[in-house]
Amino acid sequence: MKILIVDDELISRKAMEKIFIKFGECRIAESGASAEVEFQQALNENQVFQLVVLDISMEDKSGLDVLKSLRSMEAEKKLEQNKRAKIFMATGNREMQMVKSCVTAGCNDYILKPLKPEVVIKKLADIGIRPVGEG
Amino acid sequence: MKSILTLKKLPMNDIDDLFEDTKKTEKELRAFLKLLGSQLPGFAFRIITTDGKSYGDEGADMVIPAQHKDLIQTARNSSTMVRVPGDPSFSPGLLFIPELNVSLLLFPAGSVIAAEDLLTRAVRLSVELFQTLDNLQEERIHIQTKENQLNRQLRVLQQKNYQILEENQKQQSDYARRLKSEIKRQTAELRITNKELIKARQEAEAASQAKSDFLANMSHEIRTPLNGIIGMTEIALDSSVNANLKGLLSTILTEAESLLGLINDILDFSKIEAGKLELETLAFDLREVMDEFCEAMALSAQMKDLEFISYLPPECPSRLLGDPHRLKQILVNLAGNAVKFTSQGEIKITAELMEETPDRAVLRFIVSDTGIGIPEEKQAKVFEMFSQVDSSTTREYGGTGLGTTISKQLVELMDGKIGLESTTGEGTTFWFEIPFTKQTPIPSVRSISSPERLQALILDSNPTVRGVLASYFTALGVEAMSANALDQAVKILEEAHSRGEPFPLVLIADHYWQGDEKKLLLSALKTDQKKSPLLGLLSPKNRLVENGADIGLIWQQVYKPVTLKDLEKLIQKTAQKQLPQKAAIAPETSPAISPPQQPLQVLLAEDYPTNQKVALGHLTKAGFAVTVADNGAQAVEACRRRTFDLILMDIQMPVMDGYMATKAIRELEKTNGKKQTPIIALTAHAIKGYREHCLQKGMDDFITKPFKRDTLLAIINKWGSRPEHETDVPHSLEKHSREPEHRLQAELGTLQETGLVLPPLLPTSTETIDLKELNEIWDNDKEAIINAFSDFFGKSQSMLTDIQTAITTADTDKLDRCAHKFKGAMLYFAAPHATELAYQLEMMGKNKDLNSAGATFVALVRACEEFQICARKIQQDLGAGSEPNETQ
Repeated sequence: MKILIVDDELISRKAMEKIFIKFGECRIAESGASAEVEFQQALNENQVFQLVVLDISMEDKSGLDVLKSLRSMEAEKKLEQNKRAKIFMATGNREMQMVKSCVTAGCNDYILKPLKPEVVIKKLADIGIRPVGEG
Repeated sequence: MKSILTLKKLPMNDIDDLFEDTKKTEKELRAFLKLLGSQLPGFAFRIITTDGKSYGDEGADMVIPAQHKDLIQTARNSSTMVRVPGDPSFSPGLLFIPELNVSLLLFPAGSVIAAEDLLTRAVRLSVELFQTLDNLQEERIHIQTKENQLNRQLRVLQQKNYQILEENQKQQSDYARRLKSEIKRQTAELRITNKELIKARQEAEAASQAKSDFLANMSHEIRTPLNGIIGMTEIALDSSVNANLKGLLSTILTEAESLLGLINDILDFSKIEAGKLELETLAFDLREVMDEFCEAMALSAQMKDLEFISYLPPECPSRLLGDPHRLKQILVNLAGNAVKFTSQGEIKITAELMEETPDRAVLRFIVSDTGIGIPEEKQAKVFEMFSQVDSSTTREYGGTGLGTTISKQLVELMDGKIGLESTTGEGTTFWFEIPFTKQTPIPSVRSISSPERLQALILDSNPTVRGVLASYFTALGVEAMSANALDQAVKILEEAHSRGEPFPLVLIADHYWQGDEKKLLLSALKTDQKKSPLLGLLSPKNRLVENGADIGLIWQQVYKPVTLKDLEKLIQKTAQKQLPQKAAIAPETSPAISPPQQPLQVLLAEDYPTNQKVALGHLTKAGFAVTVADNGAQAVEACRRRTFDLILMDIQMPVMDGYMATKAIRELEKTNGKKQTPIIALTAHAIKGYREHCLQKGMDDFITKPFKRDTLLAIINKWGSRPEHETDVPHSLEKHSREPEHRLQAELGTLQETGLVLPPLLPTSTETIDLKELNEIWDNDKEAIINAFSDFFGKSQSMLTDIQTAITTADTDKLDRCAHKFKGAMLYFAAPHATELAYQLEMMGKNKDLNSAGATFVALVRACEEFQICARKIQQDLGAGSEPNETQ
């Protein structure tokens, strides 16, 4: 599975990578803009990301803006629904207002920061994604 | 026969076969009879073969008598028809047909009688026809056979063709399959190679990183003893009377200093290479930076008799945010090169305003010289690593060639660009452009209180110098005239005098101030005894205008390059007309060290023996009473016993480090109700944020090792004299009371200007880092936690600076995002208090309400400090307790 982790803060990136590496190949984007580039490239090469973990706010762009542009890229490519990425917003517990907008804009779920391995594993199991090597 | 042969066109053996056939087959003979019957309907026929058999019409059989056998022989020997004796009206003819090797009996049917020869011919024709038909038949068969053969061949060929096609197809698919698997294999190989390459690259990067680190460490290690050499040499120079020895010592000093310069270059370079060089964002005054830099640089140019000019346009915004030290470093590098490669002419340092918005300004700095120039083909290489124009240049002019490379890297770190233009033999112009953020403007009133409009005259042969001075004068509201030659100046002075408006201020380049020229000028200046002007003599720093005292004029030596500030002072003097009687101001020989009335009591806490000796030497020489402590504990002990006026505190010391010692001393002072002694930190590296760190730790100021005598004495002068001297200290740092909170607030600079009042610090949270949560987040991975902390330590300062800049520039969007980012890190470190503060700042940014942002930021800085201490402890605990079998 291809996973895209998007956060402009070093420690968050490291922590998330550590968690998601168990689920597949992780690509790291250090800004909203580079996440968009990475995602578009994957689309062009038909090697789409199955999972995107997206910080809700970054220095260059908000997570919401990035989310919207990722979804419109998929739409433009006429990607079938079941091939579109699962996008999880990484968010603080007091950013719920923002999360609502994200849900409207097409994110699949949100995970509270700080992401913890246990929580992530559970959340992903809910949508049928399991760590590599566990079927 | 002939015609048949030609008709048949068959090979000879075929003809033989044909004869064989005619002999044998009854079937053929009967066919021949049939033919005869149809050709000659009036006759009956019978054929008699050589072996006595006969075929033909029944009636004919009877008429062949046995005795006629001789007759057959006769016919055989004759070519014509032989009559069978008997009834002549019914006598049959006998004719031998050689083609068929038979004899033919002809019976006239009924009463038909025909002439023999006619009959013979008819028969022969029939034979011929028969044969032709036969041959045709043969030929048809033959052709049929041929056709069959050809068909067979065709089929075979077709089959072959199919086979070949099939084979081809098979080969092709084989090939495709092989190709596919080959591609697969090669892809796999490539993948492995790629992996190896990536690994190799990582290894190479790691190695390069290690080398850079090593280089940085080594350079630092080298600097310490080198500092010792420089310090000891300075002391030796001061105490030596032997002129010879002094010469030797000053050579050692110069050499050691240039070695130090090289090492600093290398250190900078390796830092930049390792990505470890971080720029500061400080509020600074560009004009001050330029003036300081030019003052330092001018002398080296003037020693070579070069004109040194600096010009910052008066309208250029000067209060900026950025890294003034690095900016100065770039200027020093470029100007240093300019001086190095120029033997006559001028060095010009100017700045231009390229772009300006309310909060940003892009400035272009230009360093031009009239030196040897750089050949066009070498120009591109100037900014490359380790390249001087050629190696012979290194021999002739020295240097590492790193200066321009470092400058380029620094400029790029500042988001700027750099370039050069040069003509061999004419000179070189380096330029670089840097975008700066402007400081929040405070209404500045440049008040030059000149009651009447002033006029000034400038006499200098260098047009650039005249231009710069005129521009500054105009900005200061002074009407300036320029003269480029002596007679012109004299003429202007005389005209002004005759108009009754003599110049109150006259600036003259000092090389006119000798001999006849001086006399001419003097007489022109002194025509009006009552209204004599203020005379400024422009000179390089290394030239003392001596013969001035006796001229009966109020005059002053003005060092080049002349700054806006210099002119301001001159104008004030002129305007106030409060000129001191003895106006000749001699240049100071060395920084003023006012010997204290009672020797200042200094405590020196420093463990490195050479540094100790150097500092001790400088301090005692300057007349201070010095007590030495080898470590922090000794320092605290010394403070317990007595009071000092000033403490110099090394940070890294054995037993007890500088921070701990400071803390203990501050507590001691508190308990005893004593006032706080100024503590100056001696730090090994000017790491970004170090000053803040020292200030937070309760220290008052810091100097970077290796310290030179002048810096050391200057800082002692600043702090050793009583706090009442504060008034004329230009920078904010020193002015503030010694409460740490206030100092911190002072560090916030412009924040204070907005009138913020700090709330009391939030109580220290009970738990800086929630260990349980931390372990949960990082899955109990000790190594990951230790690394994450280290990563954060490298970033925290710049993240905090970003937040601070956002607050000081009132950029709420930026505050929102930067605080969010900081919060992110704090969340992953399970640091609730710092998270909360960062969150508050983030919300302030979102709500665009910065009312308490300053206070919250200060609290965040403090929380971050606590966090770091706590994190370091955790790092240590984890590091110490990690057994291999425990991890996982």
